[in-house]
Amino acid sequence: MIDAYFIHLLILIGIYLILGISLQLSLGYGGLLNLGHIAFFGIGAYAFALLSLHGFPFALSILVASIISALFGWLLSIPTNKLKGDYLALVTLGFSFVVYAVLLNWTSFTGGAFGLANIPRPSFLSDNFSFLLFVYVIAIISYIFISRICGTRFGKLIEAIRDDELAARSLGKKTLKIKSWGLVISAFFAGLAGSLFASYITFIDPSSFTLTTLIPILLIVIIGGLTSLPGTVLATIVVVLIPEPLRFLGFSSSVIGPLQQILYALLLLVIIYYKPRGFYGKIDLE
Amino acid sequence: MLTIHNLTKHFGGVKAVDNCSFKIEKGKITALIGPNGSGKTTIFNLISGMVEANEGEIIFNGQNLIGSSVDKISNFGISRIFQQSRLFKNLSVKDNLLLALDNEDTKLWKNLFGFNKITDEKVVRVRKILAELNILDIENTLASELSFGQKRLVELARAILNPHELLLLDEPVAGVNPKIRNIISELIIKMKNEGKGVLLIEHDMLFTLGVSDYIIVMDAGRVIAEGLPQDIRNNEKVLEAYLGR
Amino acid sequence: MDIFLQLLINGLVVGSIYALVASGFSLIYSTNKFVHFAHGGVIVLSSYFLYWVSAILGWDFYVASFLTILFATLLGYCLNKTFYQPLRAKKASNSVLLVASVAILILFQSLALLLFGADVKTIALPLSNHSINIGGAFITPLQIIIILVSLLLFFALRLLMQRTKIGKAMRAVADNKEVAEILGISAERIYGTSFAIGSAIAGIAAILVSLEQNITPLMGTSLIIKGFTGSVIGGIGSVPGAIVGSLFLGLAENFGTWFVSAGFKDAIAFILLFLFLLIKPQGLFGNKNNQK
Repeated sequence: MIDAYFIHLLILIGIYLILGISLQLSLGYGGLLNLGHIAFFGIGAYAFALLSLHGFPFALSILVASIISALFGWLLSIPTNKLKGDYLALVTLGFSFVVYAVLLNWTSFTGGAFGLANIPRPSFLSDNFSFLLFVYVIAIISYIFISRICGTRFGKLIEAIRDDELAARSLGKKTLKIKSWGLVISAFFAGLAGSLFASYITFIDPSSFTLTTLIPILLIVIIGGLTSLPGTVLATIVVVLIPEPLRFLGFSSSVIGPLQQILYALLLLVIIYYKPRGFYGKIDLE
Repeated sequence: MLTIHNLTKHFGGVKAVDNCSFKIEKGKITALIGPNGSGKTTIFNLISGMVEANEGEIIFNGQNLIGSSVDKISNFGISRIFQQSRLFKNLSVKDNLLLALDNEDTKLWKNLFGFNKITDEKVVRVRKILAELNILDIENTLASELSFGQKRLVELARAILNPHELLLLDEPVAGVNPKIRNIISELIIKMKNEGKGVLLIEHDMLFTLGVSDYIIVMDAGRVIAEGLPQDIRNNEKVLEAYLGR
Repeated sequence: MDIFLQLLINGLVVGSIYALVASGFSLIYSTNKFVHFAHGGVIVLSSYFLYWVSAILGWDFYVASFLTILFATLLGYCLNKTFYQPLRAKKASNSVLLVASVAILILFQSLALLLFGADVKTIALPLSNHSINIGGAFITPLQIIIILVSLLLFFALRLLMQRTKIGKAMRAVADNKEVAEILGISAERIYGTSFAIGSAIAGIAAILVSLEQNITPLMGTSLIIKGFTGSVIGGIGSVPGAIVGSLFLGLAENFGTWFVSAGFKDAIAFILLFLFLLIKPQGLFGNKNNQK
């Protein structure tokens, strides 16, 4: 059904939008190359799934899952606050590997490679159209929240720390604390996106939370342009929609998957080289 | 206001600062001069907390600064400019300066609920100093697009707007044209007249001898002479240090 | 005692596999100074190349292996020329190169998946795989070869880096690119050479790993992560260190199963990676200068 197809795409756009702006906060505004961002997405998804499978109310599960993800953001910020550049990237990457390995192997808790299924959805959201509306309400609230943070003096401070942390400290700013907050908020929203994802698909397994998933999210932030939130919105739509024509070319699903990944990887390489500032980016990726 | 006692710092086998002691008084401009590598910038780094001393004390208004972090020392009332301008390159001049005014921007919740807006009063203060430095027109320019001289001026303005009693100026006029040099020296004298302490490092002797009230000379990590400008000018040891032995 | 010996042997075998991956990777890292994750992609495509030539085209295994090494060398060399060199010309930072290498890894992995499908491929072994009994523990001839090859690489690479002109040129460029260029060494040529040699080693790794562990599209990612971990443990700037670090990793993973279930082997590796990166980034044998 065409309708159902579009609703599906729109829901994905909504979820990836939240994930994208959360990365925009830590990467674009904070200048932190957090390659482990997908781990927060996964932690949120699994936390939500486990909570709701154990009977917790829907809204509470989402909230608590996001907070748990934020907590991991804080935990990660402790060792990484003093790191920069590719070293930071590698440590955060290492973090995401650890999370992945735990999700894959702690079978009794996470279901291992089989994941968790039959994640309940509340009855008032059982049809996809209502779920779509719900996702967009959350997405709009998230956008407003993050946009507010970035627009205030606090946001300018985050940017200042990105540009020159030492200079910020010489102005009396406690930069480590601010950086931690940046990661915490970023992780919170990534976890929120993860909860929505788990609730929508109703089934999750570790394979959704690997390096492969990171590529399109990174692509979104870079294509949209670092520090541009509107750019992130535009880029999310572009990135989610770009591989869709492949479906109409008659390829089988086992071909579309890898083709999509190839497309994303190539796009990322092309953008990094030709237009590293994307649509509306005001700064360069360092 | 600032007293340094027996300050020593070594990096590996090298003694960058060797048992230095001196006093900085408020309401006076003190210059720290000496050949390259004599330890001047290390002294700055020690005072501002970027580097930790191996021995000695740094007493500022009765407080020992040793062991305190960079941000804490700044909040005690010490402002600094760097040898190479460290501006926030992707922010405008105005934003660079607003950040210096206070630390309300570090409070997440206050900002989120709208309690830390840019007040007219803050804008006025920023504009005032920009006007004094004759660069009001670059208020909205991105820091990365400024010329060398403009960057120096903005960094100086930022250090001054940062609440302080002591200014550490690392080569404030190095590489700037005479017009800007004059603007900077007028501003520094104005700070001194407002009762602030100024400690500066400079290689431009004309500028230094003209603007300083007191001079401290370093060589190879030690203080080799100190006194009034006219005395230092004729000091044997100083000439030896500069002209080689 | 049996178990201990078996764990020891398993640890050495798997550690040697990681060492094969780590040695090429480390050679490239030590010269180019950025993390070339796509090394795993070169391995996976080379493995499928070997499969294609020997199993699908049906050519003689040794000819196929030789061609695989050539393929790997060319692939790595072209990868550098096509992606990294232009980015370096644009003064891309190490972080950008890292992101590019991750993208290339995913690209190659997906290509393999697309062209060959997700199911496991095997290659017929050209020698007997009868297990040899050593004091109650078992090892196969192939596994012995793997261990020997990694030891050989250890000595060969040490020789290369310390004694040969190329090795010295690579170290010169790694230490100080500008000075090396003033001395007449073309940095880009040295980078290209390092990719060629490192990727050739990746080809060797691909052959042995394909025989020992079979071929899947995701093997590149898991191998490079383990190889990278081994390099970090041994000291990321040190090529021989990478080999030792990998052996250590293999042993740690296997002896670790004494304490936790076998599924957590990967978790052991990643936790070690995380800890070493944070606490002892210079590894066991590297020096601090190897960090940026």
